[in-house]
Amino acid sequence: MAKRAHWLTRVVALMAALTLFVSACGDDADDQAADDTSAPVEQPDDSPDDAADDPGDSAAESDDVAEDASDASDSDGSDDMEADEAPPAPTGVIVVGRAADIDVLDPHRATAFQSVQALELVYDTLLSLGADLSVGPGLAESWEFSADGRTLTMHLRGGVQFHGGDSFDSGDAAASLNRILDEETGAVTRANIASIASVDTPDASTVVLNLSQADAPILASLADLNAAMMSEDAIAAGTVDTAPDGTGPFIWGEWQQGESVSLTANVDHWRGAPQVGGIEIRVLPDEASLLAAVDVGEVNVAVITDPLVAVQAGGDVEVLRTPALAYHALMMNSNRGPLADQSVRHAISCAINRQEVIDSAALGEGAVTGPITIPAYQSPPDGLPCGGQQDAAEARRLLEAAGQGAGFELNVIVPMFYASAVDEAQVIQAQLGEVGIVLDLEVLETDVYVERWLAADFDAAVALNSGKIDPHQMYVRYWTSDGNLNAIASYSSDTLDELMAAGRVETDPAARVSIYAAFSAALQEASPWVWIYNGFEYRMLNGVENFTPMPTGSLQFLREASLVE
Amino acid sequence: MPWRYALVRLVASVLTLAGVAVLVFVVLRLLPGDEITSTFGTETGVLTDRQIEALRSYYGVDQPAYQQFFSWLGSVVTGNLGYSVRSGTSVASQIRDALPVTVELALLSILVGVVIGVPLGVLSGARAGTRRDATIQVFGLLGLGVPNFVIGTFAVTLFASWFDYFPNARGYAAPWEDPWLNVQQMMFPAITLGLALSGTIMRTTRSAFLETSTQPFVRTARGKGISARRVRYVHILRNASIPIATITGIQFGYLLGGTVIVEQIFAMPGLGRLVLDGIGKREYAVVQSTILVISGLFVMVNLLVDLLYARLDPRIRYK
Repeated sequence: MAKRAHWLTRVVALMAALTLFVSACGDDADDQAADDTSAPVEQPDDSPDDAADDPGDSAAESDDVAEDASDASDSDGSDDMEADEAPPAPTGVIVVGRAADIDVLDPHRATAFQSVQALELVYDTLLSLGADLSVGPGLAESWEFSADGRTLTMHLRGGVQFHGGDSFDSGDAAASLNRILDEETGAVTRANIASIASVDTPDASTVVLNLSQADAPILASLADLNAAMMSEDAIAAGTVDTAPDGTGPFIWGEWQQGESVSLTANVDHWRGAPQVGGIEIRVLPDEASLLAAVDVGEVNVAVITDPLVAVQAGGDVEVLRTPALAYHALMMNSNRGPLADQSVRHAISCAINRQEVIDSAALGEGAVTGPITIPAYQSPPDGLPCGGQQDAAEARRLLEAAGQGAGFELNVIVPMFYASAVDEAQVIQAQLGEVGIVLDLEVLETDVYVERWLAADFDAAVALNSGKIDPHQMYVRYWTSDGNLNAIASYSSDTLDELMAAGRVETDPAARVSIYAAFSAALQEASPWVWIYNGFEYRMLNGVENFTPMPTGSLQFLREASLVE
Repeated sequence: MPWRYALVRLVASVLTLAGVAVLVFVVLRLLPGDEITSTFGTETGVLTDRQIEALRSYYGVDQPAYQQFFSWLGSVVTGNLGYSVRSGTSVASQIRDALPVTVELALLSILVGVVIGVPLGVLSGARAGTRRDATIQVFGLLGLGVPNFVIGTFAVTLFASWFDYFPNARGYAAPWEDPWLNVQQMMFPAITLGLALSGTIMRTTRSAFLETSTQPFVRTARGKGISARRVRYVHILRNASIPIATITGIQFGYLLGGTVIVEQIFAMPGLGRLVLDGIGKREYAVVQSTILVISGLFVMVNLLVDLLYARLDPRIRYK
């Protein structure tokens, strides 16, 4: 009995000692937490999944395309998947960190940024995008439109192989396009390429797209991951949604759900071997932790979306800020009450101090923008109502003239899927309050928001909308009377319809710029939405060089990046 | 008759789980949106009706609800717990990966909580009303009151910027892969959760201690000349152990599903995140099965705690 007591006493004494030690540490931690201003309170960050793509002319039509039996064997001259290892294979793994895990493996159905940006490293497209968003050659080395613009002939690169070993030829290109056009696939870019009436494959290295109408922006759609080139055999085997097999610079390795995706370099890629042996995309759900991970050098490239976290970067971290194509806007429902009146919409636009929204909600991380955020077509912010400046007196005058001087109430839906949404909504609420417009904010979980948005069940919606690389793709869906999101945009006019149609058939770049400048001006005149600002795509680097960021957020230039020795 | 008792409890447990299964199934279906809107977001608006139909069938949400329920129930009975279309794996394999992470984290957190909470509770209860008691009580309130995302984020930021140390950034390592890295990765989350727990455990220990120390047998023990320390730790603490065990068991149960914020901050791929991601992506089978497993464990832990009472207090008999 006495022995047992001793034993217990010792254990308890040890516990007490540990207690004092640990609680001392704990108390310290508490004290310091109070004055540590850099401990951000983070909300769990779900995937920003507004994705985007584009419009569609609903000239939908035939999907079934006769698939000519293209001559079988192509130039599979060298079947050198693992042949001569003459040049020293690159080594090292670039670790990419981001908050959200990928959600789909089928590139034709991927819309969430994290999925698109991972699959872009594995798949190639017929055309590709440069860092300046210009469309250039991809798996098609060259292409030409016929004189009437209704036939697009593409000449494919030879000697390209899928990671699984199949050679890439026109049969694969036709099968991929037909898979997108087939409604059974549920492919997200179908509407963008719906002008393709049929696909011919006169020989193994030529694809001919027969279009139902001239369609210049289809080139931009063919450079999008959602038009990725898959192997005909993989499509037939039905493995494309579980086992990615592309021709891209990296080979799909393993997806450990919620943890990481690993890719290995494709040393036989037609652009040349990547500078590293592979890439690991690691999930760190909390962006403050993610920043810490780059800081300590465990992550080489971090994708940060929250400006409140991004501004805290310091130390060894190199911060790349690229003005984003995605824009923040207050979407209005022009079918509802006072909003049907263009003067009222102008008044709202004039009552908002855009710079104040940027400063308060995003710590100044962004720039005032008009509708088009694509650098080559950028809408000048001073084209916005009241020159993009806050003018409360003008706003009141407009409201008075519209018979709304007494003010009114608006129901506003606010999403939770990006960090600054609620702050933006509250700043706008205060600003509009000054001219007598009362906003009733409804903060909604992502899926609830999406459902309300799709049903156009709101007076106004705070939104972060992703941009596209071509103004046609970006807005035809919203601002043409037969656009498939026009019911939600709730505004259309003959002028906008005509300008969109003109931009579609025009192939001369300079002429397109002036068409879309006119389009942008007409849109701001009508003010169906209040365009506010675009922020930045943040890429935090540590230990990586030669990486080029893109306004789309794409990580495709990891194919050129290397690790610092 | 402990076996008879265990049998009755087992039947009750199965009924509880059945209730949970139905409830979770219904609540999930009541949530707006489905796997299509969660995948495509606002892009859902550009899909044609036929495309949406095809996707509904692809994700298996075109079946009537009762059919979905029974096909899921079938997968539970056969043990694969359903199928995740997105990843092409069974839910069982996802849970198999996530469960050890959460169980290890919960056990370590409980350890931290008990090691800190019980001695503090005894120290505090033994001198109720003194300055020492007050100090410890303040600590307990801090533990309860400071949210774990504050402590967790603070620890991450501090150690990363001052010491360049953030083991969790290296990607989760299971104990059988890299035990040393695993210990380092578990340390901060376990302390973060354990601190909060220690507050609860301390307060429970203190009040149980105070209550027990007024019992006649304590006076008797003191009267017999047993040392104060021995009375405190052997006589009182042992008799006060039942509420402590109860609260610890309940807390362990909560931890199985409730470590999600800490899992986010420290990038631990545990059950909490599996459920959270599943809800976000509207992957019904993942959410249903994972919650069922968590509930099963909760029920089991409570059962074990109840059986433990007889060990702690031999006067207790089950019938």
